[in-house]
Amino acid sequence: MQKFNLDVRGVAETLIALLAGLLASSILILSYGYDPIKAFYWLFYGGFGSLESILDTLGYATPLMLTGIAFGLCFKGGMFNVGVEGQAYMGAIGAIIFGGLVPRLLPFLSPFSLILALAGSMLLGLAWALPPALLKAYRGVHEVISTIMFNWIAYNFVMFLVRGPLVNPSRPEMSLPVVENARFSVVPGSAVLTTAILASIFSAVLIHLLLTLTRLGFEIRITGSNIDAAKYSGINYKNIVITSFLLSGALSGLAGGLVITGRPPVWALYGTLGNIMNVGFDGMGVALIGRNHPLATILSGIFIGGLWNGSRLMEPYSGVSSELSRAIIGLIVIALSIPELSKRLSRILQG
Amino acid sequence: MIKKSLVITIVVFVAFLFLLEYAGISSLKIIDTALLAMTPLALAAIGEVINEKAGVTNIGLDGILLIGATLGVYGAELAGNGYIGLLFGALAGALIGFIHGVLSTYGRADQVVASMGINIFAYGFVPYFLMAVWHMPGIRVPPKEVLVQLWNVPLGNFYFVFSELTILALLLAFVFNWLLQKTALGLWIRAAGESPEAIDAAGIDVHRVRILTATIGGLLAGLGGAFMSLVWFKGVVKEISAGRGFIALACVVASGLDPILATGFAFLFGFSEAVAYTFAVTPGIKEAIPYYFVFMIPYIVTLVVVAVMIGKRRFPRALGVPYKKE
Repeated sequence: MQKFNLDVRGVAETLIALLAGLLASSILILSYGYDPIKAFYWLFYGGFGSLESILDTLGYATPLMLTGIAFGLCFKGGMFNVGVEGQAYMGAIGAIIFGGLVPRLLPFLSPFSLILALAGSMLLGLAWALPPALLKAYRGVHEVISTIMFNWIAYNFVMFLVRGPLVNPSRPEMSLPVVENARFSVVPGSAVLTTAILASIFSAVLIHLLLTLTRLGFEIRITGSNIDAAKYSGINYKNIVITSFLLSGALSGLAGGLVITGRPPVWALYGTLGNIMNVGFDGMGVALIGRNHPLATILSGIFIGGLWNGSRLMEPYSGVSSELSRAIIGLIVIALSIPELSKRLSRILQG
Repeated sequence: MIKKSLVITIVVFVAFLFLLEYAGISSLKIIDTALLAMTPLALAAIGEVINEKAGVTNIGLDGILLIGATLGVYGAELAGNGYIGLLFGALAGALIGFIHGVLSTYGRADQVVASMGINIFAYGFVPYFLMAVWHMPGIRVPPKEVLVQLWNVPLGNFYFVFSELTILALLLAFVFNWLLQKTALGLWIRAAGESPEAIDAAGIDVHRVRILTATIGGLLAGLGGAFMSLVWFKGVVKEISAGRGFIALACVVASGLDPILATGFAFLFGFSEAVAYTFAVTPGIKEAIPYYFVFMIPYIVTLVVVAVMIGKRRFPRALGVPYKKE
């Protein structure tokens, strides 16, 4: 019963933060002469207004759920893995190399292309999370600084690959696509949703079980709630840091891989990185709105996916730039960080 | 210990400059670019040093740089004067810092989450603002008249370019060092980070001290942002901050919260940026190394320096912890 009450409070706090974020953004919309009602109408109609738009929203949500789980997993252990962005970039490259380049060079591997692509994306994402994990565990370097540096190194590296060695010779504005065998099936009636979403949901359940049922999950949670208690109770802190980061990196890498193997119509990375950019950053918003709970992250992933999808209608129909959706996420995150917000509000409401 | 590493650093640095001269790259040109690149990093880092001394962490510096750069251009165009633009950017930064300060004290916010929210907000707000105000997708180049001009000092046949804001940043490093070590306000700031109970007992409002430092931190980061758009790059793009706010955080962390040392690191990172820019346009190098790799240099240098320097550092006891008044 106690636990149930806590959850209700958590949900209420999240809803209040969502409302506060939307309210603050409507002031932002108003102050530049746009109509907030019109903007929000198209934002939510575009995201959730019809079956087709809901399916597309689920398609956009697919990688966001994973980056959300990835960020949330580290956050549970008290670590702030801002590197999900760069790890997703590397994951996308992993999918292109192992699902695009390798099966073309070694045709006998072609039937296993999808497995290869996903394994490659997880491996590269994991590899990209390892140095910041080691720097944190052994040198005490704060992960926010190291992971952002790795994000920018990844950005430059991936730009080089996509415009150089991995470019599509017949369409130089994008990378080599993954082969047919390395593509998830498109769900009928949608332009962007594929069965890749099952991989995201499966990962969410798996990480939820890991956190709640296993010793490792228990140790991650203890480390996150009280680091000193964790150290005194004999938990190997360095191991927890490295394991959480590697898991988080693999999930972020998988997110990047699914952007390539699970997103029609290009099945490739744009030379601008346009289709992968912000998958990691917005994953932070997904995790925080889902209160770092893997299963709640499925829902918050759908919410942010809806903002992505809806902002494509908001721009032409209300004139508000689609990037406002990111400002909305930022405002929601700020509102979520304040525990006092809901307390003060409920005090005011109770008189 | 510090002195020994300082000597080694200077020797390596001078040797590197000789190497560049030998390769036909003017070290004066690199140094003046380095000073420009240092300035936004130093301004943001000095402000954040003060802020963290008082116990408030703001990892939203990158977002504040970005908003300062954008609103700086806006203010400059509004007033038709670049200096007013700089002030505008600084005030925008101060406002964000102030809000972060209030959330971190009275709001008892998780400071890392709140300030990451500031970054995410900025990455969305700036392109929205560029579109709403100038109907430009992600870029604004203001008319030349509203920019702040750089100074040109002839050195033989070379013109050494610099900005008065660089000098301001260097001065501020010493002023804030003095302020922290020698004044009553400095004592309160340090106490707010080390033992907030003590100054609370002495009748000083911990919250107000922290809000003050958060506002100063935001002000300087905002000024650094406006410097980038109005003085250095002569325009704003939505990626203008390029992670510099986090490099400034690296300066703060590597310096162990020392304003002068943080400025030194800002110069080191600025220098590595200048080397990257120079390599990217130097014939012979630009063909050999793709510029994507050259642009990794500042980030790699930051990683290495932080990894080497951090072991010796100690941070205020109450850093990042909201203070609950009795």
